[in-house]
Amino acid sequence: MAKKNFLVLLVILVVFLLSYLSLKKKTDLLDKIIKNQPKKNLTLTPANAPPPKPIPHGKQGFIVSLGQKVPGPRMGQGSIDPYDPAPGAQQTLTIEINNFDKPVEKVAAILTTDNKVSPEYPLKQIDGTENNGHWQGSWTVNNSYLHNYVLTIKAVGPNGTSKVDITLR
Amino acid sequence: MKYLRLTILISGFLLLAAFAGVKTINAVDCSPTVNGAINTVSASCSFAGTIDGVDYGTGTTNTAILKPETGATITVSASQILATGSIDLSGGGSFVIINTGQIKLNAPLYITDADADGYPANTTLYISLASGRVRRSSLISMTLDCNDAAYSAANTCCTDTWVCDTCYQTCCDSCCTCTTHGLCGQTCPSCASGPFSGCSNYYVYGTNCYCQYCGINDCVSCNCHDCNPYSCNCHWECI
Repeated sequence: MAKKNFLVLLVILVVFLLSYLSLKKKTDLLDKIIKNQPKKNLTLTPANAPPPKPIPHGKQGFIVSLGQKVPGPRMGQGSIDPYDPAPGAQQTLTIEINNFDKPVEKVAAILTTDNKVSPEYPLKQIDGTENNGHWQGSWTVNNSYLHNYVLTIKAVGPNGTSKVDITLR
Repeated sequence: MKYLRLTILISGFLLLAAFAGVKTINAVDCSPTVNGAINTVSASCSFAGTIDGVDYGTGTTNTAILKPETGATITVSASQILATGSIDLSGGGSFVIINTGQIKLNAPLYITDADADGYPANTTLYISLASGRVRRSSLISMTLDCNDAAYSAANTCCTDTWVCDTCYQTCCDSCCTCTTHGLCGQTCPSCASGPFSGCSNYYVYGTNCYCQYCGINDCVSCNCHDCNPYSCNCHWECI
């Protein structure tokens, strides 16, 4: 009986694995097709979606004002370069982080675009001291950002984590 | 049985890991919750218009307070003007201003409402007063005016199904300036052909001509169709 159950389970597992591999193969094929069409940026846009909002071009600065009760390191001025990257192009975020008498332990960014939420990109400190300085990170933008374009920045210190969600579009 | 449970658990985990990767977050337009002068925003957002914001008060004073709640970030987009009375950063919310974006404090917001009936002609906001503009905060609703050239407190507009004349006022309020027989907002039309081509008092409803008066001078083939005792005129329909 146990042997029969084991065989049934084995069949289920094999069917699952075959289905998964088949779907993955199709996805890989689709990715390959997309990669071979560099000028076309595929996106899932509802048929009755409003036209995308205009956005600025090139490098753009910004300034963050955190509320008094936001914990963690304070964020200051920053820049996004470019604000409107071409598909597959690199984007660089630079931001000033100040934690006054405490060290800044970690700064990271997450980019949300039309159909993707990126992994957490770690930023590296490029100048200043352990408490205060500029942090920078780069990543490749592989998804369209016609309707959803949000950059989340997190800064971690011993006094907590501060976070902003910048609605880029 | 032991294997069955274990396999179901493993399969479930594998399924979740394999197919639960895509998650979409929507960037949203700010839509503050208004409580008098206080406008709170509960989720990260940016305002939609080139000139946008919150408005409260009269004259040239804007006393509205814009407050992002804990965890929410209000982004002022590039080239955007965000007008408000003041901003409240005493809590756990934040603001981000993109290059060339501006926050204008104590700046009233105006909108086009030429007939001043409380419904705007469009959703474009201004920070300067001009002819035909009113304070954003004075509007009854942001629902667009069906006719910004005709006052209507209920925002109702006439259609060609309404009949109006000087005695039988069944028209909607934007058409009551009609002083001659005929359709709303029009003078009495003439029928070029048909049984009423020679009549002088009639109106057109759809593709038909109708008598306007009973027992007066013309339209002998009409029968009384709908006499209103409170009206000075009977309405007769051609049969």
